[in-house]
Amino acid sequence: MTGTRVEPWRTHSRAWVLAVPVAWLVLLLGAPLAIVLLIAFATPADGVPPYILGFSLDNLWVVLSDPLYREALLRSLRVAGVSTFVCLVMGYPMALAIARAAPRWQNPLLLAVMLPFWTGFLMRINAWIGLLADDGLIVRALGVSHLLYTDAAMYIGIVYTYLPFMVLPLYARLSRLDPALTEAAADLGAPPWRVFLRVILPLSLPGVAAGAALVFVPAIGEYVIPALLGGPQAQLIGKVLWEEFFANRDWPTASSVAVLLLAVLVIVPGAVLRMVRRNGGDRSGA
Amino acid sequence: MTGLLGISGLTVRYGTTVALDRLDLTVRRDELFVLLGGSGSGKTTLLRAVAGFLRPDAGRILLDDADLSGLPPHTRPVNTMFQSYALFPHMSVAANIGFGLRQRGVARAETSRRVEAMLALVRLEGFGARRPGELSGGQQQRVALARSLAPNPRLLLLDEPLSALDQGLRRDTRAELVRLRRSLGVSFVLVTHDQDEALEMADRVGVMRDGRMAQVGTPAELYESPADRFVAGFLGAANILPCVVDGRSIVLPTLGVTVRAARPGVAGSGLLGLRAERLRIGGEGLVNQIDGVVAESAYAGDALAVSVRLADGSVLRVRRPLIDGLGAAMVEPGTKVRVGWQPEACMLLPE
Repeated sequence: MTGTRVEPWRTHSRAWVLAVPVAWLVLLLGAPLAIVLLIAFATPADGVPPYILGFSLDNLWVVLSDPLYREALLRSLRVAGVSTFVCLVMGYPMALAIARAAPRWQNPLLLAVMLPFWTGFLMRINAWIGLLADDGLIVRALGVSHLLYTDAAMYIGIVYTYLPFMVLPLYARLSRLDPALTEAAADLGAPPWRVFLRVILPLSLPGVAAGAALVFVPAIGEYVIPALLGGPQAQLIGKVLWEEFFANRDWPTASSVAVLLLAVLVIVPGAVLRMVRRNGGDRSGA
Repeated sequence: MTGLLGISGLTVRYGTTVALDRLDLTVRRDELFVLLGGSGSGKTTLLRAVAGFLRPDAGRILLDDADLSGLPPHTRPVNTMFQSYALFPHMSVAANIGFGLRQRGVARAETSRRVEAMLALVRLEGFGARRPGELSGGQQQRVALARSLAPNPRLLLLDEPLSALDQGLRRDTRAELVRLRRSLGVSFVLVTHDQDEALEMADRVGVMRDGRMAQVGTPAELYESPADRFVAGFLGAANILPCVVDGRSIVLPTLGVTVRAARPGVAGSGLLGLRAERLRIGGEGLVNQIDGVVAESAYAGDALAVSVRLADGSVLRVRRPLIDGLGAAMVEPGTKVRVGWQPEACMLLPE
């Protein structure tokens, strides 16, 4: 808006329109974040609340130096990374197939992707407990001894839950791809797989980045699925956070873990986005 | 001038609608063939069938006597220039132009040499490193042309290549496209709905209607002796009058007038086509003459568009040239005038 004169009543009404979302952000995002930061620098104490405000770097230092937290974080990063990758490998063909389907089939297919959201999340994970149980269908069909309470079961749960978050942004991107571009590539002599590698894939990278962020970010802090489907040995950062808060009542340490996690969540997607931009994804137009 | 592209009995259906109806066509070597038709006439469908983007329901497409019908687009020695240009937005101009060469296994060094040559051909030297989004519409159009010509196709298909350009640029580009094609010796099949474009550029024109070829010929053949009322009306404006033909003498029964044609027609009742710009107001001294009253006259820039009401109530449209200036050409509505024309202006059409 710099350089343009705006009538006063316009700026006022604009400020009022913006007041609602700004208040929302301040109240529900800014304030909690500030409180978590404040507690992260406080000292643990017995009592209510279980901390004394102050400025101490001890908690952050513990979280950074104690291998327990570091390993939990690294393990969470790996779980989130693998889950994101599996979602991408499974979701890309789904999104492409929906985008290429006849127009009258696209909405029913998208609905099918989103249909699981109609049922409660915990109910669906509980259904998986039944499906993955030792006497369940999947164990018997695969001929393995057991699946439930293993890493495999945890990955199945995470991928199952977050797959739609990969498919939808990819579909949004792929459905807007001008069909003339793929025709032009074929016309110039590119066989179908090279049309995909040279034209479709590069132009869909912003969708890949969006989908990956939507899966990776919630997956890294995922607490419920590993707790219900994964093994007891699985120490993930979400679980550590939960235990510090509720089992140990060590709010300052828990807050420090939360701050560390947030820092990772800002840095990793930021780096991915920057990489995509550098590869020209942002110049690819609509 | 032998046949390059031979199409026989080509039929394409979309559901219950027939887009191409047993169409036959031969495109010669080293010619610019224009497919002209309104929307829904099947001209773009024909182009897409030749490129391989759709599978015909029946018929054959032969290129140099080799059947293309079953081949996927990437194996056909034919390239397309798309109406929207379809330039790859994530690649540089040079990578766009070199794409077809790289796909056909041309080495990197040879590709960049060819890309430079193509850039020079379309007068875009130095633009190789730019992205298509950084170019103007006219520049993008030239990149699209260079890209489709780079693999040296035996036949280039152009889908409304000038429709996205503005008027002035379009006029210049027509001539340039014709010049370029002549110098390369590649056959072009160009789709358009613009009759001026067709007449000005084409070596031969095929007028399409309802999935069939209404008439094929040189621009002059189509304009001077259209096969039927549709072609006469599609290429330029034509007055159509009912008539009875007897050799070269043509009776206009509703007017009670007999006129003469340059060539004898099929005896019996038919239609007489008269082009507005071949009629002259105040045509005393010309072979054929009709009297009428000026109903309307409108200034049209290059001419005065005059409507003359005839004795039977029908209206004859006349374009009066402004060679002697607007004042000399002006006729007021209500003025009695005599419209005249030469026998050569008579186009005899079947009913």
